[in-house]
Formats: sequence, C-alpha cells, structure tokens
Amino acid sequence: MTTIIQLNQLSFAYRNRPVLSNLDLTVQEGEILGLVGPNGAGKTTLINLIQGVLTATPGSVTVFGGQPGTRQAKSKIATMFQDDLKLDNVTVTEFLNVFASQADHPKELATLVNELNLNDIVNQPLGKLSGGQRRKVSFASAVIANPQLLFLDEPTVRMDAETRQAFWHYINQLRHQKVTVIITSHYLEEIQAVADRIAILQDERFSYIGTWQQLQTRHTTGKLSFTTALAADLFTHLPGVQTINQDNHRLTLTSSDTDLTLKAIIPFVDQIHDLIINRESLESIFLQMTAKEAPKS
Amino acid sequence: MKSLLTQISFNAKRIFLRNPGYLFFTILMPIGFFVLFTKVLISGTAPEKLQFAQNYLGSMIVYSILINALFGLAQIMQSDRHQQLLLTLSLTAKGTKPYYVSLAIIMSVVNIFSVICLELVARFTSNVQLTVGEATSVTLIAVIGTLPLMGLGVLCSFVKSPQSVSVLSNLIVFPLAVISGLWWPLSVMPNWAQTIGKMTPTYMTSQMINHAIHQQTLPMHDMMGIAIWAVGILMALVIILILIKKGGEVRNDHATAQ
Repeated sequence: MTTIIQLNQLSFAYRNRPVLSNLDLTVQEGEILGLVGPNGAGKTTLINLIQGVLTATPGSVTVFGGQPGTRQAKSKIATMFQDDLKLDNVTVTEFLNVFASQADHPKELATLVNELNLNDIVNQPLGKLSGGQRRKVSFASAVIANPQLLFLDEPTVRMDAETRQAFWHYINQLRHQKVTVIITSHYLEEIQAVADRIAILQDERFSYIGTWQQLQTRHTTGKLSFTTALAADLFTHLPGVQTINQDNHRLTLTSSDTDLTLKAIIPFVDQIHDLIINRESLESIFLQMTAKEAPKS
Repeated sequence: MKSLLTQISFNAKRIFLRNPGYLFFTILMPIGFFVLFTKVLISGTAPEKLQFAQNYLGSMIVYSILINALFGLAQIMQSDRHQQLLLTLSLTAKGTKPYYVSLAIIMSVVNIFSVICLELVARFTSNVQLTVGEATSVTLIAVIGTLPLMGLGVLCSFVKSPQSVSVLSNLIVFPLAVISGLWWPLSVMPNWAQTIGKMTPTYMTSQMINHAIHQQTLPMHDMMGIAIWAVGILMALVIILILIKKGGEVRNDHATAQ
C-alpha cells in the first residue's frame, strides 16, 4: 500500500483561534475517504492545508511523500470546488481545454466527454448551463487532469438523481484505477455508501476515523418491525427493547442493541413475519455525535 | 507553451472577441469621441483643426488605454479572483503564470489594435497624416505608457466586490481623464489643476505621443515620469501581494471555517 496523505500532529489556528488541533491521519492509495463535520469544523481548511494553500503550524502534512503545494504534488492533485465557475462567453469545450492544458498528463477530452456523458452540452456556453450541468462540467474540469488524488467538495449538490447515480458509478471506477478520493458532503447517505473510511471532524479534532461498519457497531440503536399475532407485552422485557409501537398486527420495537434484541426474538421466529431491521444511518449517528458536543459551545 | 496558447485563445474569446460591450468601451467610444470633437464640436481654420486633431488623437489613444486598463483588466481580474478561477488555476500543475501572461498579451494586442484604429480614423476623417515610422512610434509609446495604467488596473482588481471595483474604476478614470487634459486641453484649467495634471501618467503618455506625432524629440521628464509611475505602482503591487500572502491564510480560513 502506498501512503498518499500523511498528517502528523497537524494544527492550524486563525489568529489565536485554533481551528485544527493535533490531527493524525494516513490515507492510502485508492482509498475513498469521507470527510464530514458540522459547518465551521475546518474541513475546507484541512483540504487547503493538504493542497498547500495554507501552511500548518505546528505539525506536518506529507502528500505523495513530499511537501504539499509543490509542482510535483500539484500535477497529481485535482479539486472540484463547491462553487462552480460561471464564466461568460466560453463553451464547455473551451473551458475544459484550459484545464487540460494546465495538466502534465491530461485525459483526452473526447474520451472524458463520453465517459461523463457530456456530449449534449459540450458545445454549449458555460454561462447558460443548468446548475446540475455546471456541476458535471466542474467535475470534468477536475478529472481531466488525470489526478491520482481528487478532492470533491459537495460534489453532488444541484445534481439530479440520475446524474448522481452516474457520478458515483464514475467514482467507483476511479477507485479501481487506484485514484485516492477525499469527499466532503452534507449528503451523508452518499458518503456512507461510497467511502471506505469516514473521518468526522469536530471541535478541532477527528472524533472518529474508521469504516462505516465499525462506526455502526458503536451505535447499535435501531428498530425492528414485524407483523405478528402475538401480544405486544411478550416483547416488552426483551434485552435492549426501549419502546414498542403497535399498528394493528405490526409491532415496531426500538432497541438500544438491535443484535441483542434480534437474538432474543428468535424463539418467536415462527410466529413473526415481514421482519424489517433498521439500523441507524450515518446521518443520525452524525447528528447524535455532534449534538452531544453542542452544549460545550 | 500549449497552456499559454490555449489561455490566450480562451481569454481573447471571453474578454474581447465575444464581448461587444468591451469592444464598444475600449475602441468604439474613444473613436466616437475623436470624431465628435474633431468633426462636429469644432471651429477654426483648417490648420487649427488639424493641429487640434493631432493633439486629440494622442489624448484619445491614452483614453482608450485608460478604459482598457480600468474598465477592462481591473474588472476581469477582479471577477476571476472573486469566482476562484485564479485559485483553481493556482492549484494546477502549471499554475497561474499562463493566465497572467495571456492577459498581458491580450491587453497589449487590444491596445495596439485600438491605437491603429484611432490612427486610421484620424487619417480618414481629419487628415492626420502619419508616416509608418510615426505611427509605429506612437504605437510603441502607447504600449510603454500602458504599463503604469495596467498596473493601476491590477491594483484596482484587488478590491473585493465587482460593484466596488466598478465604482473605483469610475472614480479614477473620469477625474484622471479630465485633470490630465484628455477631454479638454489642460490650458483651459486653473493653474493648480494643471500642476496636478502634468504629474499624471496619462498626461505624460499623451505628451510623448504628441511629440512623436509632431516629429519632436520625446520629453525626457515625461519618460522619467512614466518610469517612476511604473516603478511606484509595481512596488505598491508587491506590497499588496505580500500583505495578501500574509493575510491570505486569515481570510481563507475565516471564509472556509464559516
């Protein structure tokens, strides 16, 4: 495994106000890292430090084994910003050609246009595109550089459902090509689905770095819903059960540990039907984690 | 080189070739003023009219450059910085150098084109006859005189909002045009205004152009004045860039940590 990004005790302060404190992180080649955190947590600051736009003091950032911001590092990195460029009087092709010419080893424009299904808009003026189309062009302007490390800031905002699906499909293709991707997004269900690991940034630090599955095992709360002719009282004292809602023959158990409760209902398995287990989503876990910290600030 | 050529093509199209407003303000408006003041709002004998047209040609050349620098360059760069085009380019392998060089080339070409257009209009409407050598000298002086004005345009581009840069450009262009005698002869103004006017880079450039048109030796004090202005504005730019670099982290962090 090749290390692409290495943060060692990385700190950054705005004047005397600390934004990031003592961050450690290693990102490997081909990894997709979801970087999440509440507004103002310093996600973009962290990305700026990795790109060399800002300088960390104290601590260090290593990108591709060297200093961030060097020409060598820049030639391997591309960024899709949250705000799209709205330049007048240029077509999509002309816009993408500029970014191709800025790269050392760019992708072929025609290939990229086909891969990202931009054929319909490639000759249109950039200023007349819809929000979603402009987002696609911003993504194309980043990947045309053929990067080995790609930063995506709110990549799917303004995209319709179909475009989002195609977008994430393309990101998975990049994963197979060993491209490392760092994504920040408020659409946490997308991060949950695509990221190999999730880093939650809050109160200057990473409050969690790991896989979604590991995070989920820490948050075992969930709901078990099923239909049964049995009385609801039978389930009240099962391990983990906190509340029971009954709607005709459908019972919904809220459990503090869905695994434990599931094991406990096995004796009734012949008499229950249509069992649905809902574990907590990343979004609800994220909200819980950030809500816990809220009173401090 | 490919990057530079691509950016020259890209910037020329979006700034100039597909932008009729820009074409109007930088080239057609000075031509319009020239025709208006040399053909319509003028009286006197034929030699007096020719003398006025020769002097007014220099004024309108400088006015065109001034408009290009402050309404063109300043607003383009401000908009590109505001939209993060410059930040985006700075993160690429080849950085922002091709962008800046392409802008310098395009602005020079636009200025030269504007000077040639004015020279041709002056020739065909007011019979201002310039030899190829004189026309070339005038064009070269205009390009050199561009430097402090372009620097002024770059300085204005650091203003934060597009509205502010527009207001600032207006506040500089029109008073500067008036006080340096581009619209009316400096001699009709009070002494104090003349003293100030003679210290402006626009007056110095128009004086040098007038000397070239009249086949006179270029005034050394105006050449020195242009050089001093160019160095002064360059120093101001360097100071601003250092301050931006120092304060950049502050602003960037402040903006991104919101």
